Amino acid sequence: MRAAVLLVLSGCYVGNYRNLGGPFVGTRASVGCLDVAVALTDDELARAPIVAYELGNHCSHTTLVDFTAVRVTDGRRELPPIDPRHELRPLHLDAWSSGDERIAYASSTAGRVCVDLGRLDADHPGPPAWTCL
Amino acid sequence: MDVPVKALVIAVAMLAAAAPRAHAKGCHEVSAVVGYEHCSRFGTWSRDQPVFPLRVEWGWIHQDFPTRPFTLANAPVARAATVSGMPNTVTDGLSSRYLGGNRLFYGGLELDTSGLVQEPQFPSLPSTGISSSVLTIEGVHVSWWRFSIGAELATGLRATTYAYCNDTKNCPLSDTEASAQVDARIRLEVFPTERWSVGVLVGHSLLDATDRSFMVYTGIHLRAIDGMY
Repeated sequence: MRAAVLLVLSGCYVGNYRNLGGPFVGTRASVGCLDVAVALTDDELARAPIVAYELGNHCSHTTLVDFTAVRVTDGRRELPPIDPRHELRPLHLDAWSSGDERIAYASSTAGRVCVDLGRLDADHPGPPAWTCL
Repeated sequence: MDVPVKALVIAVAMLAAAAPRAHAKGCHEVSAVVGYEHCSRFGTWSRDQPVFPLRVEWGWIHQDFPTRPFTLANAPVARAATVSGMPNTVTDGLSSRYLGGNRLFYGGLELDTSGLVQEPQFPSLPSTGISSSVLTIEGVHVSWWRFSIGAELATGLRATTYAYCNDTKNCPLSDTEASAQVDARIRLEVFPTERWSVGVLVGHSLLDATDRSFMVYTGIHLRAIDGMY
């Protein structure tokens, strides 16, 4: 029963950068309907830099999340996402739902990166919203 | 395994299938990064994933409907119940509903099983009984914030068994009456979370003015708010 309840509640966004799993980790930004936290992370297989995104839709309607519109730079040039299976595409996030992704970016160094989240909410694109990590 | 428990198990299994990040037994995730994942994939959080908007509901249902004439003909006592003066049959029981649909329309199946709490009485014959319904549901619904309201038509069959017992607690006198059921219903529900609802439903028969039903229920939803917005 406990597992069933957890499954039912998974993906719920309770607001204020929290889902039922706890608070979002990272630097926070609000873009359109999305509350987003971004942080650098690491992985056993993928090479840095890897950006971990946690997002929640605080609107009472679905919104379109477009990770392909997120720009990431290392201060000198724009870093393309590493997407060997060509999975990245705009997808809808339900109202009051949350999600998370980790995306690696092609860079020769693993230093500081800046992320522009301004167009992550494709239904409500805004001005550039840079967050440096 | 009774029906509600079986329905819960099925719903949980489907939810598990709809949550690909829950690692399947035997699948060892090697990375959490897009493109490197082995057991998962990009966008499992999205409503664009192919998840049927199934909702499963369980509730307490109260029904009050006219008692159809029935005959108790078994020995040792033969009695007949007539329409005149018979009270309505009142039942309390469990309802399970399995629904799916789109932004505006929904439909599915409802199964009700109830015990009789009011039925025709005969002197020195303790009574018992059961009522079961199988209904198809067709409805429309709309949502506002975390609330939704719907109107639906429930059509199907109701079978009611009236049983009367003797001193040895055997119940040799019984009869089962079947009747058509066509109910117009209004439902109001709230979503404490986007995949869990609590609601009430009020129904009124289109065949008999004194046939009414009321239900309090809770439901789980594979799609948030059933994708109504």
